[in-house]
Amino acid sequence: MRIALADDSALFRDGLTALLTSAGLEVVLDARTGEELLTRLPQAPPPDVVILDIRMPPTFTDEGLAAAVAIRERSPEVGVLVLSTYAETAYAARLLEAATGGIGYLLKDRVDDVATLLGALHRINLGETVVDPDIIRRLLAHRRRASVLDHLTQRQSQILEQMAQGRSNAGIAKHLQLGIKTVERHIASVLTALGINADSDDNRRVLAVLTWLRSTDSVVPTPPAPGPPMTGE
Amino acid sequence: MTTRPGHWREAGACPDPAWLDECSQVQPLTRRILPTIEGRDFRALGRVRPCRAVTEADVAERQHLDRAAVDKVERTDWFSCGAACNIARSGSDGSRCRWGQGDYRPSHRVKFFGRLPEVGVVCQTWLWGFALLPSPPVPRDTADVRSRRMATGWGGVGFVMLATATLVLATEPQLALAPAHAVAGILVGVGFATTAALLFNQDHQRGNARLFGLLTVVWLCGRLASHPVGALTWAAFLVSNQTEVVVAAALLRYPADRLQRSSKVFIVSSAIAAGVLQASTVLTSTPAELGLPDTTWPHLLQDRGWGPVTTEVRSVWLSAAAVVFLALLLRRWLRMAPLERRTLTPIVSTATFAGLATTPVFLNAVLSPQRQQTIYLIRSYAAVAVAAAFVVSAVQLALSRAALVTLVNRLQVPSSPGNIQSALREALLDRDLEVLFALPDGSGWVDDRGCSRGLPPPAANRMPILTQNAEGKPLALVVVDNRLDRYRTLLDAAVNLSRFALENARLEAGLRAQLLAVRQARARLLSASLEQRRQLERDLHDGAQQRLLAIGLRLAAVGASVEDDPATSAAIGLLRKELHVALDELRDLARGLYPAVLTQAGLGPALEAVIERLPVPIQLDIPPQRWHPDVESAAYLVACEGLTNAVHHAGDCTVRIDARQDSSGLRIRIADDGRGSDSLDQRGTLRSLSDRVTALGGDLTVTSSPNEGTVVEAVLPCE
Repeated sequence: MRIALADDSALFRDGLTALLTSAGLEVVLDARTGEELLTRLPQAPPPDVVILDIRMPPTFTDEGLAAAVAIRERSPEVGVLVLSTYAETAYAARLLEAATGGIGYLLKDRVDDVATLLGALHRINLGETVVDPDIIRRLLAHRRRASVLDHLTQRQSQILEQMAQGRSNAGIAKHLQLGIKTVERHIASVLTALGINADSDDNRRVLAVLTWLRSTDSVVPTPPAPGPPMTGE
Repeated sequence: MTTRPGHWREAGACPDPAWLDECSQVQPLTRRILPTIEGRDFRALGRVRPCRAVTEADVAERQHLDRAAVDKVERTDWFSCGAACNIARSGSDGSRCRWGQGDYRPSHRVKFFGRLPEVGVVCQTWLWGFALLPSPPVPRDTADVRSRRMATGWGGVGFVMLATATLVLATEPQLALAPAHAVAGILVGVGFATTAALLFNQDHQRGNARLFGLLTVVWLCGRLASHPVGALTWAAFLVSNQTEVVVAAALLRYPADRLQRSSKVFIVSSAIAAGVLQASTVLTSTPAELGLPDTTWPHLLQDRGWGPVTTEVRSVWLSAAAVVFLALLLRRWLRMAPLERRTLTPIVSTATFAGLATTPVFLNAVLSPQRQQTIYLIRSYAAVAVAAAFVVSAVQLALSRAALVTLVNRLQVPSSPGNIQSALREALLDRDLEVLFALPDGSGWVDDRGCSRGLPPPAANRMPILTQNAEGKPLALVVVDNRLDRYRTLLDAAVNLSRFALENARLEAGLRAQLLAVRQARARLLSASLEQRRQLERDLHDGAQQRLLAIGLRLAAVGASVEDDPATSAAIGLLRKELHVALDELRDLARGLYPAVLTQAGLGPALEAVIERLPVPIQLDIPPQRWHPDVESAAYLVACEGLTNAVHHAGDCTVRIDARQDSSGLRIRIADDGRGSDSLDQRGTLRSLSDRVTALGGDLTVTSSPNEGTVVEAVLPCE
């Protein structure tokens, strides 16, 4: 897999290049800013996935998001992984709204876990979506949706979490070591419980789940989920 | 006169001499108003009056000034009585008018009322004489006394002139024969003479007073033409039609002290044309044709039959001149300052009427003698109206001084800077009048709201008047319409009456400025501290955090290469765990210093990140709008503090956070339905927050009572 990366910290760039190279990936391009990456991209061998820091010069705000959108507009087949020092739900949502499929948003700390990093890169390369587990865990733990989430079984909760992180049905089945049919059945019941229309597109499903988790409407028109409640207050 | 490109310049204690120079170049009046500041000889200049701390003498002086203002009003009462007398007399004239019957012989009724007009004239003369008597002088300095004495002297001259005119014209032979015409003649003469006398006493009006003196003389010449006094009759007739020209000049000039260019051209050409036409009339017509007494007359071209032709030419010319005159008058009226317009409106309206009345006189020369008599009479009384209008205008000017009484009353109440400005605007009818207060420490000028201002740019149409205190330091600068310079006494009185109020208001303006400065300093401090926090967060993010992340990556690479050595691998695993803890702590620290997402994505996302980490249900309703960073930080901190308060004190509850933009700024409200409390202790935790909000000019309120929940609300102004 060919990787291009942009980060304003030379130390971090070098470290990441070394790690990726040792893991057998090819780093075809590393740039200091998103703009530099965009200008140099046509000359380099086409990368499969681009890794971007969200905060880069010149304004150190959300250049990474802008660069991600620009890259996807130019070559939609290239996957984009945006790294952030702080895992902010708002950014994840903005990224998911801006582009569909083959995108990821991860906390920067994750990258030193080779397995996680490679897993995320592979999933992005396959066109899946990756959302940092921290964000999903925080959203699920928050009590805004307690009344509905409390009625999910433990298995359903696990599956919702995996779904929100962007895994496909097959990915969830593999991760939780379940049969794909079982997973599909659970997903259908979870989506019904949350009142989300089932969508064949995985990425749109992620966005829908994320939006549901973020929304603050207290009224949820959903029937109680099947099965006895597993977690009490 | 040109207006230079305006610019505001910061000034020290005294206006910059260069600025004064520039002012005087642009506006010649300024030289008189703003003399050398260093010279300190302000008293003699009569414009820049020193102001001391209030003493008993000052109070006495102020009372004196008030009395003078009231006295002016009383004098206008004398004028009014005189005017009433005039009207009564006109009424008695009406009773004697028997024109149109072709019989001008006095009846017994006329004999009985015959002396009434004379009595009226004498009464009116005396009443106006009372009004003209100098008021008890309020001498402030020698220059003042001298000017007063001079004014009184000229006033006396005017009085004598008036008496003479009355005496001469009261013996008019036509009085019994054609009373209406004769009385009109007397009234016009008296009106002009009165105006001349009135104007001697006013600012910048000596030239106009001379003009009215000339007018009276020319008018008397015209009347003289109806007396059989030998060669004088035709000489007087030669001059008599200059009356219209001089009246036109007066109308186009008064109360200014010079004519506009176009008006001057019109007047000069009219005077020449009138002279030539009148001369040709004398040469081509006989006295009988002109309705004059049969007396010595130059008989030259009378037998050639040119008389009607010259009369025709004269009438056409007069009509054309009347139209041009009305146009010039209208243009002038439209360009007047409000105060001027108020004074001149009666004159302009009656002059327009008179002008219109004059036009058909000569065009309809072919009418029957009776109609001609009617038209002549209308014309005569139109002239009376013009003369009366001048008198009314002079009285009105005196009445406008009564505005000072209102000003005094308005200044009695505790006066704020804005109050004084609006009081002066009202008294002087100048909507753009501006008062700039000198700061007590001489560091510059502030306007009525306490905002720092530079000196106004020298402009052709604005005139600055400087008031100073006893130490010779500038007190305030009153910037007025320069057309008000014609009412200099009024202007001086207004500024002087305001002096004490200005002194107080200046202190208040100074305090306001200080308060503003303190508030701005607090806001700057707050802004600086926030900027420091942001910088610190950036430094942490770009330095330590990136470095630790890079170490993590290196460790991971090393860990991957020593997978076959379990002991080393385990040690590296432990190190990585420690590193993650360090990174988490560092992240929390940086987030606490300043949440980067607040700068990057705004208030909504930043608060979303906060509430995701809290264990209570929270509803968030924040528009995706962006505000000034300082406002956003303050709102964020208010919300965080409100949330902390809810989590710690409110117990089991739900919280709602709303933010909205309204006219007063960003309004953020954090409301919970928890236990609530009325203890001050709980509010004490919000005090530092209150300081932060007020530093931005905002307002923080906390309402809480047991079992009713707590509401924290902040309003943050956004400029």
